[in-house]
Formats: sequence, C-alpha cells, structure tokens
Amino acid sequence: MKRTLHSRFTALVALLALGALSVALSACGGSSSTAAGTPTNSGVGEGAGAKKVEGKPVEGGTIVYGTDREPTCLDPHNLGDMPQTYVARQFLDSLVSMQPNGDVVPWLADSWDISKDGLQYTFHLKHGVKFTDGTPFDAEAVKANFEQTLDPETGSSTNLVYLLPIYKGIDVLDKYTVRINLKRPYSPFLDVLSQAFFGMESPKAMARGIKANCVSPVGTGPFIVKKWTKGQQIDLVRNDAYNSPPADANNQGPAYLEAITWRFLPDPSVRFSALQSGEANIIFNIPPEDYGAAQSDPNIELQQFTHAGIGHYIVLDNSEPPFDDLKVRQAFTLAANTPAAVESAYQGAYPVATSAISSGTPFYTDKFANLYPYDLAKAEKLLDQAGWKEGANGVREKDGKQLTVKFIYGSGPGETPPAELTLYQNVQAAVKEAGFDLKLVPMPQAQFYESANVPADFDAEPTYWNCPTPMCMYIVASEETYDQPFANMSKIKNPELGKTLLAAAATTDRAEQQKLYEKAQQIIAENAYWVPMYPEQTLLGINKTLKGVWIEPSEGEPVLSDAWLEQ
Amino acid sequence: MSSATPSITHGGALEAPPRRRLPWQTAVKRVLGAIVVLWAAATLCFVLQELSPGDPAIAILGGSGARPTEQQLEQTNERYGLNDPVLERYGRFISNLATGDLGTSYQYKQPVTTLISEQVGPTLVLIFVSTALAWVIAVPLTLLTAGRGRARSSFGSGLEAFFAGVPPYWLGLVLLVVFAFELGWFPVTGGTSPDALLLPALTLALPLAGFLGQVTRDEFDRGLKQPFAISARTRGASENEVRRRHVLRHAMLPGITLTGWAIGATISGAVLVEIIYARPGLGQVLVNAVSNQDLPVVVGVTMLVALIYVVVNLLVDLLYVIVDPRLRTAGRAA
Amino acid sequence: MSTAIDPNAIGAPLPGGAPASAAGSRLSARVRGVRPAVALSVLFLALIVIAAIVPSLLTKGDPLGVNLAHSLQSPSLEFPFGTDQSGRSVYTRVIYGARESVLIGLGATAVGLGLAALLGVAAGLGGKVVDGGINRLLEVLFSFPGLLLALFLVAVFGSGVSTQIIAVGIASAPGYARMIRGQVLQVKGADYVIASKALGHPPSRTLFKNILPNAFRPLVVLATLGVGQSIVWASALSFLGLGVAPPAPEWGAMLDAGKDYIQTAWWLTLFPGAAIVAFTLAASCLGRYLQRRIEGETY
Repeated sequence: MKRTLHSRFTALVALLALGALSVALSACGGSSSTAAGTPTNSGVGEGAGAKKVEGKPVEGGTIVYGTDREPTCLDPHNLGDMPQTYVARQFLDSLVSMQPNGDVVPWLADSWDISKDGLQYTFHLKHGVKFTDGTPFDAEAVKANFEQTLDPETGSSTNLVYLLPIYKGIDVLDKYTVRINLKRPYSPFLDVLSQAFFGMESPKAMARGIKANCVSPVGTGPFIVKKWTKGQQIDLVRNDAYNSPPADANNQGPAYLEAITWRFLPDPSVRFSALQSGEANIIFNIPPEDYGAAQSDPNIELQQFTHAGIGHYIVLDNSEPPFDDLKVRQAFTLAANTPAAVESAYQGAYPVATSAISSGTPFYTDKFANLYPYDLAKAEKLLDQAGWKEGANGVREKDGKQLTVKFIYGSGPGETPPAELTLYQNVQAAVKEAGFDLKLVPMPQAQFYESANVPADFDAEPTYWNCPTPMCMYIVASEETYDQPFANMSKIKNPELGKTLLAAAATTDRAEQQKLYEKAQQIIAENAYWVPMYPEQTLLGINKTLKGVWIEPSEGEPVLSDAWLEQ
Repeated sequence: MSSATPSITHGGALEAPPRRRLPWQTAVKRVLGAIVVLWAAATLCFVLQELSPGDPAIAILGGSGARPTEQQLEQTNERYGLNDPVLERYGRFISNLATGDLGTSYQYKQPVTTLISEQVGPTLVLIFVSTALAWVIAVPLTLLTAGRGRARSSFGSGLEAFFAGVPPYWLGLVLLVVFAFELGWFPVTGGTSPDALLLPALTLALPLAGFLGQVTRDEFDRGLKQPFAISARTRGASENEVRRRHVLRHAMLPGITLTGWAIGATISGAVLVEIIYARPGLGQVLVNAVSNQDLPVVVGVTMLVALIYVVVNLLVDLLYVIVDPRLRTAGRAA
Repeated sequence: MSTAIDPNAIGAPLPGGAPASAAGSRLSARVRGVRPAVALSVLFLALIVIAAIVPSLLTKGDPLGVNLAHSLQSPSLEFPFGTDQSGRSVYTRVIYGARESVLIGLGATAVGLGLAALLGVAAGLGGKVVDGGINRLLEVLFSFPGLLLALFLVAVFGSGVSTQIIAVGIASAPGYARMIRGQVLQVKGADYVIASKALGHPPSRTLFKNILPNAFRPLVVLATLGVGQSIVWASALSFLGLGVAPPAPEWGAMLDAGKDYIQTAWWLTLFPGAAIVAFTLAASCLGRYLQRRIEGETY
C-alpha cells in the first residue's frame, strides 16, 4: 500500500478548511462582547418587588425556564443552597413576604404579634388553605415544619444556621394560631422566614422521610412538582386551587401559566443560545460574555436584582501571617484593584462590591464603601512599614520568609467558571506589582470544602454569603461562629463587632438599627478583614412575550405566579 | 481513555480470539474472571477514595453552599459509619456489593440503582449509536478508497488520520457552534430527542471512525494480497466481489476485536460530550460524584462500566467466531 | 497467538532474522529521500521543540502579562492570535504552552510505555501463572474507566503537571502492555532465539540482545504516536478543570477557558485547538514514516 505526500497535505488542508469554516461562520454571528453595560443596581432592593405590567393577562401556556445549577434535593429544608430556593418559590409559600426595604407583608400568616421583649412571635394563619395533597394548612402544620427542619435526618444547614442560635421552641395555641419562642431577640426574624428555605410543606408529605421528600415535596404554592428528571429538568404544573398568594402579588388567584419546565442548562453558551432561539422563554444568570448581546437584543428583557448579604468575597486568613497584620490586609486590598478585575472579567455584567455588605442589603450605607481604592504606591508603603522588604523576583520578604499568598479554590465541574478564574488571575497579576506572590491552588471539591475551614491550609479563598439581612456580618465575623464550618472563615476575633451586631438584632427601632449596622460596616471596612468582589445577583433574561415576571428580595427568587405568555 | 492504540501495532493489542466454540469450561472460567474484574474494580475505587483527602461528610451535607454545622458533621460521620476502622468499612462495603446493594448516594439521598437507571439510558444510547455510526463511516470509506490508487487511498487515510487525532472536545465544540448555534439545524439544548442525538454521536463517532478506519484499511490492504484473495480472483470473481465478500470480512476482524476496547474508551469520551452538549447521562454523574466524593455513586457507575466492558468483550468473542470462518472449524492450539 | 492477524504487521522480523531484502529496501527508502509531508511534519515538530525549550526565540511577549485594557481583542498585527480575557496574547501563550504540553506528552508516554514494558515483558517471559495474573490485572485496568482513574488521581495528588503525566500514563499503559506482551511472546518463539539458546548462550544474553531489542522495536513508533494521543488526553483533563493551575498556559486549559466565548471570541479556542491537532497530526505522520522504514515497505 502506498502512502504519499497527498495524504499529509490533504490532512493539513482539511484542518485549515475546518478552521476557516468555523472562523467564517462564527465571525458572522455574535456581536462584540466587549461592550460593557452598566447594570442598574444603584439602590437598595432596586430591581426587586412586584411590578405593575401593561397588558391584560392571558391564561394558559407552558414556558421553559433555563437555569444553570441543578439542586441536589427539592426540599429546601434539606441542605440549603441557592438552586433549591429558586425553584422552591414556585411550589411553596412562606409565612410572610419580604419587601425591598426589609419590611414584610402577609402571606400564609395573615397577621402577627411580636412581644415587647422580642422573644415571642405569634402568627395568625390564613384560613382555608390546603396543601396540594389535601392536608389542611394550620398551626400543627407549621409546627411540623419547624420540627422537620431541626431534625438531623433532614440535614438542613442554612435553616439551622439561622435557627440554632436563637430558636427556643414552638407552641400551637389554637387551630390557626402558632407562637414561636426565641432565646434572644432577633429583629430580622421575619425577613429570615420569608425565604423559600422556610417554605411551608405538607406534614403528610414530610412524614414520608427525606428520601421521598427530596424528589416530590408538597406545598401550598402556585405550582406543583410533577416530575424531576435528574440532569434534565423539573416539570411543574399549575395548582388550580391556589388561594394563598402574598399580599404584594399582582395576581391574587391561581397562576396564569399552565406549566413550567425548569430546565438545567449549565453550559453558558447553550443556555444563552436557548434564550436567543426561543427554546427557553426565560433564563437565569445570563453569561457575562453574552451580556452585551442580551442588552442589544430587542426580543430580550433583562431584570437584575442585587442580592442582600455579603456577596462574593475573598476570605483572608486573619489568624496567621501574612494577613494577621492589618497593614498587609490593607496593602493587599489597595493593590488588588478588585473593581477593575471584576469589571474586566465579567465584562460589566456584574456589579462590583466595595463594602462589607452588598448594596442590596437593608441598612446598607455607602459611607464606608471603597475605603481602599486602587493605589499601588500606598500599598507598597504599607508593606514597607509592615517590615516586608523587596526581595528576589519582585516578591517581598520578611525574616527570611516570602510574601506568598496561597489562594485555594474548588475545581469541581462548574464550581469555578472561566470568568471567575479570569478574575482571580487579574487579581494575582495586580498584587504581584506590590510584591505579593499569589499562588492559585485548584482543589477537587471535597478537598476544598475541608481545607476551606482549616486556617493552616490557605491564606485566601473565595466564598459567598447571601442572606436577607445585614446579620450575615454576625455569622461571618463573630466569635460565637468561630469554629463553625463555612461561617467565620476569615477567623475574625473582634468583640466590639459582635456586640454591635447583637445589639442591632435586639432592637426593633429602625433608627437604632441603622446606627448599629452602619457601625458594624465601618468596623469591617476599616479592618479590611476580607476583600469584597461582587454581590450575588439574579440576572434574568426574559423573552418579551413573557410578561409579569418579578424578583422577590429575600433571596432574589424569581416569581412566576404573576407571569403570563402573550399570545 | 485506555490508550488510543495506534493502528500499526493493533496486532498486539488484541486479545487472542477463542480457538474453538465456547464450551462450558470456558464459559464458567469467563464468568469467574468477570467477577474477579468487578471485585478488583470496586476495591480500587474504595482504595482511591480512602486515599483522597477531604471529608465526605461535608460533601454529603451539600458542600460549602449548605453551611453545615459542627454537630451536623459529627452526626453525619456517625450515621454513615465514616468513623469506623478501614477494614470494617471495607468489609461492609464488599458484603453490600455482593448482595447487590449499591447503597444510597451521599449527595442525592436516593438509591444508587435508581440514580443510575435514570441516567444510564441516554449514555448507553449515545455509546452504541456512536459506535455503530463509526462503523457506518469507516467501512464504506475503507471499501471505497483502499487499494484503489494513490490519490483515493491517501485521501481516505488522510481523513482518517485527521479525525483520529482531533481532540473530541474541540470537535464537539466546533460541531456545536457550526451546526447548532449558527446553522440552527439541530436543537441547542440537549435532550433525549433523536435530533439532539446526532451531533453528540458524531462527535464521538468521527475520531473512532478514523481509528477503526486506519486499522481496517491496513488489514484490508494486506488482505488484498493474501492467498485467499488471489485464489478468488483466479476463480473469476470480480474485483468488487473480492473486495466485498472476501477481503472485507477479513479486514473487519481487528476492528471488531477493538470494538470492545472502543466502547470502554467511548464511555470516557461520553463524559466530555455530555458536558459540551448539556446531555443527561452517566458522564456528568460520574464526574460530579468523584469530585464530591460520593463513593456509592462512583462505585455504582464503575461497576456498570466494568460490566459493560466484560459483556461486550464476550459478545465480541462470539462475533469473532461467527465472522472468521477459519475459526469455526475445530480449533488449532494456541 | 492469533492467526487472523498477520504477525508481520507488528514489525517483528521474519523468522530467521532480518532478511537481506528488507535491509536493501530500507536502504533504498533512505536514498529515495524524504517525502515533503514528512519533512513538513518534522519541521513543525522541530518548531514545537524550539517553542518548548526556548520560547523567547519565537515570541517577545510575556505569557502571564495581564493587561486589562487589551482584553478580548480579535487577531491583529500586534496580537496575531488575539488576546484572552485578561489581555494576554494568545500567540505568546500558545508558544509557551508548548512546553507544558510537550512535557506532559513525553512524560505520559514515557510513564505509559515504561509501565507497559515492565508488565508486558513480565507477562511474556514469566510463564503461565505470571502471565495469567498480569492478564487479569490488565483486564481490570481496561474495564476501569480511564477518566475515572484520572479524576481520582487528581483528587489524591492534586492537579498539576506531574499528576496529569501519571494519570494519562497509567491510563494508556494497559493497551501498550498487551502489545508488548504479544511481541515478546512472538519473539520468544522466533528462530534466532531458539538458535541462541541452542548455541548455549546465557539467558541474559538472549534476553538483552535478541528478545528485548526485537520486542521493543515497534515502541519507537508507538512513542511518536503516543505522544500525540497523550497530549490530547491531558488537555481533556484540563478541559474538565483538572489540569495545571492557572495562569499556566497549557493548551487544554486554554481551550477550557475559552469555550464559553466560542461564539464571541472564537480565537480563544481555535488556536490552541489547532496547535493540538497539528501536533498530533505531525507526530502521527512521523510515526507512520518510521513504521514504513522499520517494516521496510516501499513507498
């Protein structure tokens, strides 16, 4: 058999042709992605809340909601991660509904009384509401929900983080009256209860055990979970007997839409293409690289909400060198130029965070925002003062040790998307100028989870905390939560900070709360305990034929019970 | 991801085909061998898991997104017996497996068998369709271009070499962009409909076709010069007949034997393809499970893959006997 | 050994030793000169080797030089392959990436072949029990999904160049081991080996002068082809996020980082991908050329 030069040339030509083809075809489509848009997120809670929409609602239709992450369990009482809360909102109702400014309005609870000492919350429940399996919603049901959440079998985490420090017990006073007793006053309690994490589930359904409840939970909500095809989608159908919308919903009856296909599309290009092609009517988390295209597409409406909480930030290990020194922390923040890094990596699709809590959090103040704007000279001076002198290869040294920063992150599938990685590399290059040798250390997921809580294993790491109230600051910075995994990861020990926050939780006087929360933000910002990156946001891309979608403010959950499909 | 066996030495990669039709003894020996393989694979999983750093309890409780508390971690460790000594855990592990109990997924709290049976369908479909497609591409290509002059044969072999060498994920991305995003011929979102199957299957099939083509072509060329081909020609058979009826059969043998290995390799490729095309399937399940130290799922999927491999090899051996007439006559010794 | 496959395909010398005619045709092939395609492949590979050893000869840029102002620029005179998300020149990174990729390719192939040689020779020469045991082991390794093994190894040893090398090496070893075993079995029964024994040569001499060189001859070709394949699989690992830590410019990692931008910034994936494909093609071409020379076939 003869082999000739033809075979080789043919192969090379084929390669070039394929390359040229893909170049030509991809150059035709897709617009420039470098146009940086300015997201409108300046105000607290802006972007959230029910909106009044033009047009007459139309009944019927099935929509496809494309999202990036699949929950591991549909019962939000179990675990407690973001994907669960977004979908749970569609089939569970909570006791109260939160407003953008932190107030709450009635939902499954018609009204409530708070005792003077703030230790007792008595809820008067709505009458005539049934779970979709026929069980009546009453005080016994509420009690069953709290007990299930606290049961170790359920494996609830987020709920326990909120409840364990404050919860004392629950009493059924009569059929529609239930009282929750607290160990100490906690003014954000109602906001906490408004999250879908605390949605009310049917006692009969919960009694089946967590295995069954993960797959087919039952609530009172506007939609019902029909089927969960793992790795693919969740099929939700309308609850025709729905009669318990929150007081702030536009639609006070059953949902307009017949069904929702909650589809998992983790790949960003696929997800965005689905929206563009109409295969999906609405997608969650528009990929940053497609943000420009989404903005300029007349068929796509964008809705953006900056979540309350701390958002995404870089934890600095305050308990060990080099970051046990305030000057070094300040220098790091000054040199990192995080706002520019975020802007560039996410191409303007993500807002930047420059303060202890995000701008979407109640009681946020911008007085202490951006206390350490980019200033390389200042950073270098601080490092000199701290005893870190210039050394070999541009890396600073002190007492024979180099200024290395071990930055660990999880490299599991989908854990750290490329844009996030770009962000870290941008920061790495920026702090290098000041003499920091930041080493990026990817770790498999399970290993990362473990090392993330062992101060000796890292100097810096990324994390995020979303909560409806400023009390996140207490969780991540108090001595009480010092040893709790994923709570006080920065290992901050500041008694004044803890006292300030507890005092804020103890009072219901808004002016007093404002003062105390602001003080807490000041302490954190001045101490540069961590480096803020960007807040969590709900960024929805909605086809213009789908109307009436809004985002609620406790966890940025999308609300689809008011939505309708224009025919 | 077993070695991409280069074509020229395919001879050495092949398992010796059966000398005669399978008698009872051989069958029993094979089954025992298969059990040993399964046990070894499971043990390997267990050992690797033990060596992996990281606390499975955290992963069980949902990872950092779930913010587990100290007491929860302790309770979880107790409940799953993670604090017990290694040998005890291994004993439990093996005895459970032996009774067919694959356990419950740490992450999803569902029985592993349920999880796998939900996801195995699309992956199996993908694998078998891809392999079939690879043959459908490779055989005609070989038939049409082998031994028919320099230009044709070098075009054919050039094409094969190209596809055998192209990274599957690159190919997948290019196909996805060109045919789904730009031309819109295929749906963008994955799914289990037939038209969502073509691009992923093609992504896996093309490199495999390239490789199978190379192997088959080499054998075909050799076959054209073999005594049986020459004698067929002298008996008056047309060139086409010689090629189709005599040489092709002979040429397909190495390819068939390699199919067993190929299916194993395709499973690894399926992981990449499922991720690129957002297709449900075992690939994603496996990657997630390893990353989150969900040992029951990892073991379950590994068992399944090993089982598939063993079964396919058995079938291939049978097929070999059918296809190669020389082996059907009472055997020659090794 | 199988009768359906022509043992000559493996490149083992015909019984009786290398015939004069084969030597003659090898000579004439050399005299005839190298085909242009092969020359092109060698040239390309040489370029890659230069890029691996002295990248600064081929590019003046800094592969780690972040410049946010330049991010995501399409190919131009200043940046022939465009820039990535952090403003680094893709061309510079592809050149510097050659080192990582070649290192991994060579390393993985070396590990794989080394392991395979050990297993294969032991199986071929060790007698029935050893052979059976090793065969069983190879069965297990074959049935164990290679990707899974790689995932585990990364979980245990952490991601990085050495883990990639080990993972890809171990995953590719079984296939080579089988081949080598087959080779050794064949060579064992060859006439010249029997002759050597009959002449009373010590077993070690037979082993090292007759069996091993002839059994390993096809390894040369295997190595060339294997390097290409190893790079592809190593970059598959990077694609899954299990490869070297950023900001290292490894081709597979660059593909992974660029895949989200495939519609808007196509240059991020095209050039690293083309580098991998071209490298594999060139290695494969060279390998086939060597195969022809060894088998003594005429062009």
